[in-house]
Amino acid sequence: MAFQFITISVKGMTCASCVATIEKQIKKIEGVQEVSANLALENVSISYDPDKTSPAEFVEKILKAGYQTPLSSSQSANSSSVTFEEMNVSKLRQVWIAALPILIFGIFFNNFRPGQFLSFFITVYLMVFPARYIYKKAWRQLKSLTPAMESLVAISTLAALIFSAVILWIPAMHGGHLWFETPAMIIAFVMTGKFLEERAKRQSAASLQKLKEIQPNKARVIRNGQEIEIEVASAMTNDRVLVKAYEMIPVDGKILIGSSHIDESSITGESMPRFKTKGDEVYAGTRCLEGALTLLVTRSPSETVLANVIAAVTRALSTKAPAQRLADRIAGVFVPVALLISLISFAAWMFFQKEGQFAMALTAMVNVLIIACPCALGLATPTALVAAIGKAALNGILFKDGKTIEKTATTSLVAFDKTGTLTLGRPVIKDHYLDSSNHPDLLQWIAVFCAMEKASHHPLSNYLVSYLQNIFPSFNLPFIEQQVEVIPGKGVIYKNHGQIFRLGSLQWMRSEGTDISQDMQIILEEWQNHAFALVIFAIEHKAIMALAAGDALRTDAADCVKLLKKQGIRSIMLTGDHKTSAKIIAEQVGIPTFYAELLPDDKRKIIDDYMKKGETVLMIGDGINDAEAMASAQISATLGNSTSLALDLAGITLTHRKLLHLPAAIQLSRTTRRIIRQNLMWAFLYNVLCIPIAAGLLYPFTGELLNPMIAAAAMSVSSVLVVSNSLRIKKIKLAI
Amino acid sequence: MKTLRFKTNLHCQHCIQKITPLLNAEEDIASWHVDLETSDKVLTVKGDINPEKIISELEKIGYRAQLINE
Repeated sequence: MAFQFITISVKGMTCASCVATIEKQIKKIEGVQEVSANLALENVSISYDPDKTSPAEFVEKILKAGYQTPLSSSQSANSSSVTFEEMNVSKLRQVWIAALPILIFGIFFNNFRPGQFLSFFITVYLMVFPARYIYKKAWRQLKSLTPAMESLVAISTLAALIFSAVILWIPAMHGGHLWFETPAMIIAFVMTGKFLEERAKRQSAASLQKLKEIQPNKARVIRNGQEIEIEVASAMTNDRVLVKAYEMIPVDGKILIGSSHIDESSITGESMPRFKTKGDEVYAGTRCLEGALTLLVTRSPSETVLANVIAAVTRALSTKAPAQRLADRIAGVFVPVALLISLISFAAWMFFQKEGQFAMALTAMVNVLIIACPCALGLATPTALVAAIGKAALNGILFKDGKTIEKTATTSLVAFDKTGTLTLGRPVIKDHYLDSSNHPDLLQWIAVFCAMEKASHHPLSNYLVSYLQNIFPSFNLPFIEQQVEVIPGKGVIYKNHGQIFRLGSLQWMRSEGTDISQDMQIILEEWQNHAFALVIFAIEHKAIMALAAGDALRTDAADCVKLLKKQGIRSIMLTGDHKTSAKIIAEQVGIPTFYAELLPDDKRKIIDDYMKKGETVLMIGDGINDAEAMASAQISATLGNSTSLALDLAGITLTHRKLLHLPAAIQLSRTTRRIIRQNLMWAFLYNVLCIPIAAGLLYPFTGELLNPMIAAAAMSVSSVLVVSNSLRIKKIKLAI
Repeated sequence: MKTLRFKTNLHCQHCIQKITPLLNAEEDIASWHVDLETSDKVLTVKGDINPEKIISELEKIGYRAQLINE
């Protein structure tokens, strides 16, 4: 029996319970082997037996569960081209503008009749139009018996609206307290929180698109002696592919003809281009920096290293369990309890009250429902998150969404990428050494040297020339470009009046029998121990000058690791670089555990291992080579100048490119989580105190069901407490 | 770099597809092409390669080739 596999995109999933609902519904279909719905990618993957069922049945189930899928109507897919964000910004503005007068009437002019009527109509408008989705979702949640935040919001706002409407329209009830500001405020805050989350979710889905864009889609192949352009996907192993200078290499292959420096930073993360020649392997997504290459395709386009990264990122994103919000978890328990208490109080009043029991019982029930969703509960999470996101942004930290903030607080281990994250990720000239520094012709030589560098187009040349121009301020570059001969992988030669100038690698100098002084030799050895790249300049077989290039550590890297340690967080380093250079950086930064010579896939495996051991891992990286690990880790972070893929994937972006902002982000998220918990505690406390009163517990003593003034005061006080508690986030001092 | 010409019994695009992986993977071949228009179906190979090797490679997959001496 052969199973088939299909991925259907689904719109309208917003939480963990939506995922569970869809999976449950589709699993019911006979012949379905496995179902996995993905919140971030907005799709569901199904493996099924084609003899027993078909995708049409899946679509039907998805629609029945209340979600949309483009497969069902092509029109709905097109209409969503109005961007989600635009739609919601204007929607949100509407909600706040509408809610504001209700708040003013509710608090200051509660007895102003026209204001009351206006409030009623605006509240109805809010519920029917902008906030309609809350009620739709609540209905879905209640139908599937999985209540979450929306159910609570819907029940209490509806209860408040209906109760207030009764007071407003039925003369016998006049004078009762009106609750219009409650649903309006709850709706406004819940939607604000939702908006921030939705915006974030859309960005993460875009990241996979970005990854696919890196892969060039055309390749020039030779077929029967003819150069033709084809789709990369239709390239086959053993095809010969042509790549010109500055082009992206479209396939994984072996160099047959030509040689070039290759920028492999996209795969390995290493900034220094590597020289590759006949027989060397090159990878799709890397860049040919000079000359022209003929490649022999060694892997089919679907099996390249890059394609594997894409597949792995997709897999990691789709298997990651969506974090369930604290507020949702509480609501899940709380909704049934609140409903139960309201029913019990209704029944109790029906049973115990002798006269007018129905009106009493109904009032008590509605009171319980209104009280059950205090503003405080609706405000608890969003206000804290909005305050935290704002505070973070001011300090150069961008949190992708609220869930990330909640999750970041639990970080126990930070995995650093080396190149580009702990280091600057670009070569810096570390040092130079001059033999015969008193020679009268020195400046002239250096000028020649710079001109040769320029002519070589070596990746380091610009850095070298500007370094030398800084040290030796006054010299003009001679125009010798035409006379310079480039020997790929070795260096350049320039002949002038019988003098031979050489510039290139140490190995080349040695093989040419260049004389290197004892003093220079010692310096060179030390540089090599630091894993620096060396450039030697020689005149007539005598080495005159040596330069060392290397990657420079970010100035705040060591402090960042120190601060994390203070927060009780361990640090590890993952790198594709060689052990020696990895060790040097790890020691300088103070990271005891490091892993070197890793492929993108290895990085992910190490992260997975740590997660299996129960660590909450935050991966901070910058390149495509980190994408897999970042997608897999519970939390990911990146610096503001990273590749767009890393920026899209990352839950946290440090926009000022300061590593010190990472411990600050963790500190902020810990504070935020604490504040959210306090807020929820308040809301809960309020419920514990007020629900019994609303149910009529005080009736025997006061002769009144629920004193609306006291209830309103309690609600306002708890809301103010929650909001001011959240605002404390703005005041905390970040350790930057 | 030498240019070698072979008379072959390659007769269609399908034959060319079959020999493509073989000749492409040969590192010492710089370029090659087959001219199906000519009656001899001439295979032209540029590179530093022994003609015997090409003939034997083609034979392995069932084609005949004969070096043309000019």
